[in-house]
Amino acid sequence: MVSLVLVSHSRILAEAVLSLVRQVASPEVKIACAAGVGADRLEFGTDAIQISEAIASVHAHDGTLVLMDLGSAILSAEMALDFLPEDMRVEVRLCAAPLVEGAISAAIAAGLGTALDGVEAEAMESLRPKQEHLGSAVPVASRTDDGPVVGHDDHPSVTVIMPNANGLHARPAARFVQTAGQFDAEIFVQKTGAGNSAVSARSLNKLVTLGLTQGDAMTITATGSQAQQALEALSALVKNGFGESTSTLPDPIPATPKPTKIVDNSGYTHRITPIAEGIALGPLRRVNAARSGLLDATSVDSPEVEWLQVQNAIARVIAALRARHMRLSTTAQQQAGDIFNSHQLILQDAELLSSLRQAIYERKISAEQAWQSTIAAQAEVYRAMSDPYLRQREVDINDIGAQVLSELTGVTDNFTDTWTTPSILLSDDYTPSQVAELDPKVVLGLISRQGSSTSHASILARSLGMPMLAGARDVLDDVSNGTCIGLDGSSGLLWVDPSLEIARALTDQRLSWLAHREHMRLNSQTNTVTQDGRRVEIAANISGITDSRVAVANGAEAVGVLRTEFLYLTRSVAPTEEEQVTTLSQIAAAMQGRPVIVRTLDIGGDKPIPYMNLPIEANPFLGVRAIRLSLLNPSLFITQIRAILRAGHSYPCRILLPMITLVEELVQSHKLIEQAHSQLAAEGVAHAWPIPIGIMVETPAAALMTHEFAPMVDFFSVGTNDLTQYTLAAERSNPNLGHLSDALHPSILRLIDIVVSEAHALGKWVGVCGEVAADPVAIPVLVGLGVDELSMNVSAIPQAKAIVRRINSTGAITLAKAALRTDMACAVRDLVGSMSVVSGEQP
Amino acid sequence: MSQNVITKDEIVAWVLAYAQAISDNRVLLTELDVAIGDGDHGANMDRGFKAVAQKLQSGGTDISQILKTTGMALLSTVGGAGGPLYSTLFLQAAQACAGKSELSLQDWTGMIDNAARGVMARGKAAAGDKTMLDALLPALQALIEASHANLPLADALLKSAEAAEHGKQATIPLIAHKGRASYLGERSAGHIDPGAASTALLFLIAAKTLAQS
Ligand SMILES: Nc1ncnc2c1ncn2[C@@H]1O[C@H](COP(=O)(O)OP(=O)(O)OP(=O)(O)O)[C@@H](O)[C@H]1O
Ligand SMILES: [Mg+2]
Repeated sequence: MVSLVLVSHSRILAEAVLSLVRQVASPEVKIACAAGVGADRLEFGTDAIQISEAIASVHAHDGTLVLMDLGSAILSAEMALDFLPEDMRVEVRLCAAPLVEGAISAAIAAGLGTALDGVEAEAMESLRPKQEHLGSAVPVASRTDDGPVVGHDDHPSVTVIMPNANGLHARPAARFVQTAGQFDAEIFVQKTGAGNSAVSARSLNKLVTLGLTQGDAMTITATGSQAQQALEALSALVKNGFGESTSTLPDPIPATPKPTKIVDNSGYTHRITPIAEGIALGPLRRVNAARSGLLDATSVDSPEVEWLQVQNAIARVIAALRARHMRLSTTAQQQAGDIFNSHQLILQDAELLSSLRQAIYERKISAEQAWQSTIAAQAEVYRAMSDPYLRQREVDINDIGAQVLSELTGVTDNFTDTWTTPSILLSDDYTPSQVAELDPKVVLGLISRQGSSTSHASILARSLGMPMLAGARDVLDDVSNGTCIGLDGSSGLLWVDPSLEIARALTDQRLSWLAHREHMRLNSQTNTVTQDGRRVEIAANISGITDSRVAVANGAEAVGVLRTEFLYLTRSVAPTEEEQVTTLSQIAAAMQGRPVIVRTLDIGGDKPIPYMNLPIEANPFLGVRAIRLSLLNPSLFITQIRAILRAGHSYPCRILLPMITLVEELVQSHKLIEQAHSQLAAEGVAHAWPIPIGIMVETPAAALMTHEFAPMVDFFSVGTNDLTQYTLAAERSNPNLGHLSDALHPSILRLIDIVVSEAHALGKWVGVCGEVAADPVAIPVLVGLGVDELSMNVSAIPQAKAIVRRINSTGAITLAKAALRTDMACAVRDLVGSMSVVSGEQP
Repeated sequence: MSQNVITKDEIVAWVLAYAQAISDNRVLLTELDVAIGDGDHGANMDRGFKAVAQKLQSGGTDISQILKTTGMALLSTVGGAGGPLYSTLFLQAAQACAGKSELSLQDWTGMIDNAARGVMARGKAAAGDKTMLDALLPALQALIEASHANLPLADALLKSAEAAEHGKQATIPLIAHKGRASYLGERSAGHIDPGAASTALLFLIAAKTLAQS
């Protein structure tokens, strides 16, 4: 275990820091102080000899990290190293982190058994929460610094092959940055090969400029306490093609065919590049994006003001992008919303911001100019790329650039003009934001002179159902505005001034296309039944209002688990009852009448909640968590129950109790729930009563006691993630225990079988809400076991519904029976592969 | 006592006289440090050199050992930046005159050269950063020139003391780039650097106590 030495001018300060650290860190971490000079060391100063003695007193071979305050503390610490024996000196590291924050982060990391590099990295990152909280405007330069050359040092790393046809472009890179950001680790990515430098996974721009194309190898390196987890998650993300199909995107630019002219007896037809399917017929309308010219160089005397202005402008654009992202995630495909998500990330890129800041402060130019030149430089990087797909990202950069600029200058382009006649638009090219803002009432279809099928604008057009053609070049140049145009987005056909006969045919085709779309939309909203008519409810696991909107759009039939932890974390006092009623009601309202199962607080010693003073436990997952915590804090629990009962008055809410192990716990919970009810009744407050109550089955004990629990509950929800972890006695996040984390292990299936049969015997229904509920392989097995509800992440819902609809339930029962008799998880998976119970799939 | 060498006893006398001078100038050094630092340079140095004086009461076996004792005593008693820096100065000086029973001008120059290199390496400062180096480096320069010119030792020591004093005065307009004063940025200009003042004093005392027969 890494040891720590705290060096300060003040003995009192050092000792106080030590007590702060002791509050949070494992007692096993050895920490020594070296501080003060003179009698009793009560005078301010540092002493190199004392420092070297302090190091020697705690040092072990895992290494020692020395944290210090300022000035002579640094010099003395360096000098202290000179007095250590050589073999010890190489294992001691002086750390530049701030003393208080650094010591706390380092001690926590050391207590977790992190190696010296990782402990140091943790300490160096320790200012981040404070900076983020206070919104420090200045990007920390070191964060975007290029990383270590991979292979150097022994940082954990993985090498993966880029599977996506279009390489690491903005959307997958945004996913990568976001995934990387979830872990406490410094992550660097390098295109494999000599001489390539590593870039930080925090910088979207730098990642994209690596120019990774399909088949390229990339090495991901991580340091920090969660380095391993981060690497696993990231390599899984890459291997899964970043969640996009690895070949979905049609051919890139070079495929743009020359327009061909087909002359027939009535008007004439062209064939150009089809982009987004659909039929449109209407008058032509030219639109031109107003490209503002370069601004004159004017020198400014207050860079602070310029910096503030540009930051405000960026903040406004980010807010607009966020709104657009939300709107699109609910009405169109996720891919479309992701585009604006990646635009947001570009605007938050530390790299971009720091060169912007530099331009303002060092070249003393105006916010507008600085922004223009920064964006121009960034666009140039993309323009210079050899990969045609990446080259197109220039459009995105310019799109964002124009939005911020128009915020700065107040000048907008004519896309916000209004016209009332529904038209077909012609432009050189469209930016994603323009397409997203188009009003379908006045825009029937889009034609671009340039453009290709892989630009973000095209993706948006497709997901918004806006028919589009590209590559028109000059074919419409002689056609005047208002001329009737017909287009077919699937074939690429373009009619100029079509005959009446053709116009009529196109109108019919348009109507049947619109009807087909409506049918598709409605279909995803209907309840799910298997091929032979068995009802399986597909529900959503959500943790907030955004999720619930997406859940509805994706066809969720209920909320299977509403995690309420978000109400409690990252705040300094417990949420009030009123606040909870409001939030729960908003979420339930967004579900538009669908049932909402609210899970009570599921939290333990692994998540610090300042106002609860939870003791640090050696084994949080086996400690006071979930219902155990609620029962120890009855007032907190009753407040939550009162909120659920009150929200339940207007919306169909249900209560779900997490981590029930003993029958006594359920009995006690019922008492508290009844107490909440009698309080509300006595106060005359409207609330739901009785309310359906269910328990989570997460411990083997609960599963085996289903028969005893069943009379006291209305339903069961099997939490397969925890059930697997507790049954197989393997921590989920432990990278060495991956083989012990498959929820399809027959032991788990047998427990589910017990739960389902004993619950059904007493007329209670059973849901499954772990990751396995969304696993295409597991779904037929779970349906075969008789599970009534599958609850999953919102994005998995459409696929799960499609799978269930193709299941033959008799076949699924046979499959489940066979699965219960296997001896390992992979045998179950093989079985699903060999017995085809899902139609339309190859066995 | 030969006029052109420095003996072991003179070295002891030099260090002890410097300790006394620091004590006498304690208030002055502190005032300088109040202006651009944390007001402790006088107290720091005095605490350190009182401890040194204690250690050197019984004299010492040889020059190198006396200088080393001085450096080590400073290390754990000064407390401020002066601790590691003056400690380094004396330890590096000790290293340069290992095995020597008396020092010629060339020896003394070599010794100061080694000491200055040590201080630069330790503090990572350069000339013009408004630190003790701004007195130390001109003094060294003067010694090098004097030893090339083969000046008598006493003249050389005088020239180095003048150069150090000159360097000290020249720190007034400088902006500090190292140490506590660097936190003041431009506001550090307009004052003498306290470390440069204590270093100038070191060379002044050397001129007064060494090679004076
Ligand atoms: N990095 C450095 N290199 C050379 N000289 C330095 C350096 N840092 C400080 N000094 C010198 O040290 C002098 C200050 O010494 P002092 O004993 O007052 O330490 P301090 O700066 O108060 O130390 P502390 O950081 O402990 O408060 C400065 O005037 C300067 O000449
Ligand atoms: Mg000071």
